[in-house]
Amino acid sequence: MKLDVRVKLILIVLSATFASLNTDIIAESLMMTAITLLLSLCTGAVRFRPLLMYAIFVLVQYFVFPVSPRAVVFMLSILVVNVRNFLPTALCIMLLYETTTVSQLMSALTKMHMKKQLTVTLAVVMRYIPCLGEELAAIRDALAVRNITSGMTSAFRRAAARAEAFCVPLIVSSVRTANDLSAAAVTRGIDEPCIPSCRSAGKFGAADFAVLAAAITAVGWAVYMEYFV
Amino acid sequence: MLEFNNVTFKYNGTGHGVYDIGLTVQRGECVLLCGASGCGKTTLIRLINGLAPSFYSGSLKGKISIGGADMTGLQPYETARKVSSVFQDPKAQFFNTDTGSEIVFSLENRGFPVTDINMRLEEAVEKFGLHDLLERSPSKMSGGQAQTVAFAAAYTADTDIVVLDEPTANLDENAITRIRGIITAMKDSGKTIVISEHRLSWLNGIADKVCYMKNGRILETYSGREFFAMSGNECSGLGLRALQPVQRTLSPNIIELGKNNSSTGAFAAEAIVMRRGKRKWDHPVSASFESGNIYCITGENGRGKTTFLRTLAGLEKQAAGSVIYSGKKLGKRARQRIVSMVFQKTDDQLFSDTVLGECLLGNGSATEENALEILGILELAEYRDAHPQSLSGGQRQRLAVGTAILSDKPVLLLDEPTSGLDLGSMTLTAQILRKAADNGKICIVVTHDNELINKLYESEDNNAEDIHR
Repeated sequence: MKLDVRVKLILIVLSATFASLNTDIIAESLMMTAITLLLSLCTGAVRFRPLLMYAIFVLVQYFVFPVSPRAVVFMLSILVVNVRNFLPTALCIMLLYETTTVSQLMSALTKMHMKKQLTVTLAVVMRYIPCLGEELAAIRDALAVRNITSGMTSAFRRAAARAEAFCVPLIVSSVRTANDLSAAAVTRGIDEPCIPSCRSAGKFGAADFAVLAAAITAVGWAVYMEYFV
Repeated sequence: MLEFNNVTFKYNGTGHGVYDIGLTVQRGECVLLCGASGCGKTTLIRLINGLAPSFYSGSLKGKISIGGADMTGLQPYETARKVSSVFQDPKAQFFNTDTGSEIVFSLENRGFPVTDINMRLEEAVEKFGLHDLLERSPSKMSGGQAQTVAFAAAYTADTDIVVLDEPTANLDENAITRIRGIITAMKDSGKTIVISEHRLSWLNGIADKVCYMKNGRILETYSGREFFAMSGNECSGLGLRALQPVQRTLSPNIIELGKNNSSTGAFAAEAIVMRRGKRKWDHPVSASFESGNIYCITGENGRGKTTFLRTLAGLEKQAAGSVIYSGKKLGKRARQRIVSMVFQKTDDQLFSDTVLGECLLGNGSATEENALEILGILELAEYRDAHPQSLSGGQRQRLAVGTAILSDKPVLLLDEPTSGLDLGSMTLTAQILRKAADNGKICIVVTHDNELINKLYESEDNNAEDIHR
């Protein structure tokens, strides 16, 4: 199943709106299930992990929190409640990232009359995300074979030294990588003022209309429940 | 076709750059830019593809023209219509998750009709033999495959000029032979090619003109024939890598992955079946290493050399087999405690705020005196108080090697320590590795660089003497 990039972008906005308005756990669970199903259909692979994670958060909130000390509830509630609330939006971002090429994104944004600066920035950010993972893994490996905390007896000092050792190369390396990517993009005409063509761009089809209609209905229901009931 | 008329460019802030450049490149000509690191080759490439001064800001004087049209003051996308680029690390220039989209990215940016794009894509796939790679992500390819895709993208971009900035730095001999064929085909199709390179021998017969650069100036311009007829002494006198293909010294310490090796040394890999992510290698690998020796691991791109090194370092878990040190089988953590490692990308392994601090960080037994001695050998002593990340790429590479050598761990692993390095840096790296081996370390080097291998094995005694003198 293929969705138009514009629909994927609108889905992100609508799911975030739904998450901020809705207070009903059943509606939220239905939304989460529907988006997980959509992600599976679009990527062609069964994705049950996000649903499992969501189920754990719900179980913790409704069955563990009532019998836990207040301090524990206070510490964990941000993770369990707020992260859970925005999981459907995170899945929509994942849907966009995993099923959209940079040229599809640029073509769609240009058709939506977005400014070139924003289009290019988003394209570089999208390309940079996997690089960030690689940078983190490389620094972790370098630290594993380097005993940077040798001679430090205090656990606090060791933790601080490791955090500093992680941050310095990450910042420098990120800046360098982003710079290299931007330079490469410039040499490939990413800032051309024309509307980019896209050989894999699809047409707005029945699936796009169906998904959009379902998302608008869900948000409409959330607005009604919030302001009119 | 391409003309530099008395061009001077200075980067803002540093004042480095290129000076009084006069150069004319005819249509269909291939020009090689050579010289030591920091001589201005990359800056000249950036002036051609428009990255300087539009992306790397600085002051530009003089005139650069293509086909008689003045290029100074053009928007970057206007230059991109005339010049395409291939960089040292192809993966750092990819923007798409599938090869097809990557190849036609420039055309899509320029709004070419889709039918036209598909036609050009088919042509490039045919010409570069990319059928098997078309649906694969460029980020999951070997260095040679990824560089071929980068060349295909440059070819498809429909520009008259192609600039190449050290395109073979990370490639093995087979991949270089393939790249040579591609550049010849590009030249035959009328494209003008400008290459900046340290590895020179593969360009014999391709380069029509060679510009030797030093301190930001073109000191000498040779015809291709004149340049490649230079003697070995003349060439090393200019600080250049070999001009003829280098045959590897025969040594029992050169280990080719895939061949049977023994596993009886102080440090050994015993029938290791390598695994990295979802990939698992079919054949077990054995190798044996003794203290005080340098071992070079060679083999084509994609054979698992880096994974082998990572397995020895305890950064990957093998599917079968074991790593042994002093008769004991070691787990991942135990291996990490006995090895120091220099990775291909040095940005991620320098943690301190000064060069001297970097040498001492985590190296409990190293004194400031030891560190300064090593920095002296690596010609980094004058930067002792500089931030490691402010050094040039070659200097960072040397610092990473020096830091690993100062560690009191008995095993030193290096992954392509001389990729993209000039003759001077390569020689210094070879010298410091000999010193480490002389001090009893086991040095294991993954490399494609035959010049480095020869430097390591040819004159062990001479090098050792030079260091102690």
